[in-house]
Amino acid sequence: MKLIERTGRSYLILSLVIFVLFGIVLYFILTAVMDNRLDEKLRYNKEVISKRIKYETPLTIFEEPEELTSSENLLYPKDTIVYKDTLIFHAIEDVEGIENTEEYEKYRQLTAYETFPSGKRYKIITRNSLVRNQDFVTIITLLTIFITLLLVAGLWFFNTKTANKIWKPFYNNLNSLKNFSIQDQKPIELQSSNIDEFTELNGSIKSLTEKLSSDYNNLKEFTENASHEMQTPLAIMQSKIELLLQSTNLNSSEIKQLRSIYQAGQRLSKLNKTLLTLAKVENRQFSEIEEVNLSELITNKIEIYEDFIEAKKLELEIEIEPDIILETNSTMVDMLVTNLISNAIRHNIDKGSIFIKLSAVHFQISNSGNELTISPENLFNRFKKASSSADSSGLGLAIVKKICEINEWKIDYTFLDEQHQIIVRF
Amino acid sequence: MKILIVEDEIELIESMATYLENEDFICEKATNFFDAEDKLISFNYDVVILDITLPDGSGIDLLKMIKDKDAKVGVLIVSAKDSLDDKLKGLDLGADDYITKPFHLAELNSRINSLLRRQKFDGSDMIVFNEIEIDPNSKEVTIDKKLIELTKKEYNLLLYFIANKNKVVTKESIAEHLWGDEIEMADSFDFIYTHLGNLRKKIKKYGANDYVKTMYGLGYKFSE
Repeated sequence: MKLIERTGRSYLILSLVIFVLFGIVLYFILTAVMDNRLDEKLRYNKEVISKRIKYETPLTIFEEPEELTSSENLLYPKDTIVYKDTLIFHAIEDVEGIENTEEYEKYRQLTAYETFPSGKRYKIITRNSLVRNQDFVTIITLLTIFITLLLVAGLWFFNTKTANKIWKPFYNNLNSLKNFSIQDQKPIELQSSNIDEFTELNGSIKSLTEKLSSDYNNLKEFTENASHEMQTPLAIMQSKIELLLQSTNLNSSEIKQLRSIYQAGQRLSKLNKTLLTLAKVENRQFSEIEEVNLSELITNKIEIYEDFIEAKKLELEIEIEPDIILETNSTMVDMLVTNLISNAIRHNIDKGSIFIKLSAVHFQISNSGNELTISPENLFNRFKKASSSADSSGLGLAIVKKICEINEWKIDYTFLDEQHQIIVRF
Repeated sequence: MKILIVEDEIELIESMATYLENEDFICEKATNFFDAEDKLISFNYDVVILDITLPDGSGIDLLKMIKDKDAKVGVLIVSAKDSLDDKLKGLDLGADDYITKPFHLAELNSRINSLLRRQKFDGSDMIVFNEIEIDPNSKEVTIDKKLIELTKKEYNLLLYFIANKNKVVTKESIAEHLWGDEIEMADSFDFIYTHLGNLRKKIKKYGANDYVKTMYGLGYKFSE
């Protein structure tokens, strides 16, 4: 549930309760006030009647006064006035005599038991119809309900409208937060708002993302710097071993051990170089864009790998459209092609096959080989390698993937009919 | 031939100097910008091996200085930074070659040799090893004046061996020399063996001695 709805609903319920209570209270107050006024009027009428009786003025439209019965005398020995609401049956004959209306009507009735100076006691009844009053109350109640509804609807409408306006920057910012990628290197853009809480939130988000970005950059730089720093000690190690190898008085056991150290050093150097390359690709240091003739590049690479292809007796099939030009960084494409071709050779079987195809929209390389021992989703992750062979760093495809990402190319891997197939779509 | 090695890592300088002095180069060492500047003003060198990152300055500035003084001096940049920018910048400013750390001493030596060869304007400088003669311009190899046909890789291999004669050359360094450092295949050693086998056969066929010795477990040595 949205915050607006939640608060809106509370307001709605609260205002409904208030208005219902208000309506009830209003009803009772109005009824009381009107009863009071009616009672006054009834008393006034009664006074008129009792005065007439007192001065023996004939009561023209009234019946002759009757004295109280003995039982009534017993019930009201003193002068008493009793008010009550009563229903009286009406049978009004229509003027044209077509329709008779029969109904009970509500009346307010005053009954006075009064002793007059003559010593006689009389009962005086005056009544007034409550129908008009009831109509009045009904109208007021309806009006109240109408106003309540109008107010609630209006409140709802304005609340939603202003809330939308107030929350708009919030939702916009939420969206840009969702789309924020630490790898883009772009600072997050937030819409400002004149609401203090949102301004504060924006500030926090800004500083948080800035912190994230700088941490991320530091980490990336760290990889690169660490790799750089390792180059020199590695160079010293390698050169010292190479010098040692020149000495003539080594026995075979020493040679063996030296050889192991040397090979381990070589592996470390290669790994370090590859890590450095990956860090550089990730840090987007290969940003110079030029026209690269991919057809030529691939043909040249295949030539370099000729020995390797021949040694494994691989059947090579090539379909390269001439002069495919890409606007990209030449170093990166070189790395991409090198990695993919060397992978296709390295992870091939003896007397296997390689198929390389290049068109204006895609570069495809397929090779025969055993099925992956890792899941294809992991294939492009760092240090995920299907073989444990020492000459595979497990970084090649990670570099390939990163290069594709930077160039916004799509890369797909499939394994079909004993064939590994990688397609890069430009 | 006089070489100045500018590099802040004393141990690396020592290695380079030991290897190159063995090749009858005279090596002088400078471990910082100030030293290097001083030596460059006072003496003349045929080749300068230059590290870009020095504690008290940039090798790039030294490079400008060297080339302003004498454009013929060969400059080989050694850098831990394998970035294209540095490479291009270095080569644009007149550096003759660029090598990235870590490197094989044999490779360094081979690069210096080819650098020195390029310095000779007439190009008549032949590489001679006993009965084997190589013309680096036409890339022709003769044995006892008879021309022999070598593939590109065999030619490069022979040149590499002669540059590093009497030295143990590891298979790793040969592989890198022939195929570049992007090759990371153990298989490459078999190809060295194949190319080397072919080279040996051809040389023997034309009556030269087999100078290549297999150093068990290490690599090869080209020697008398």
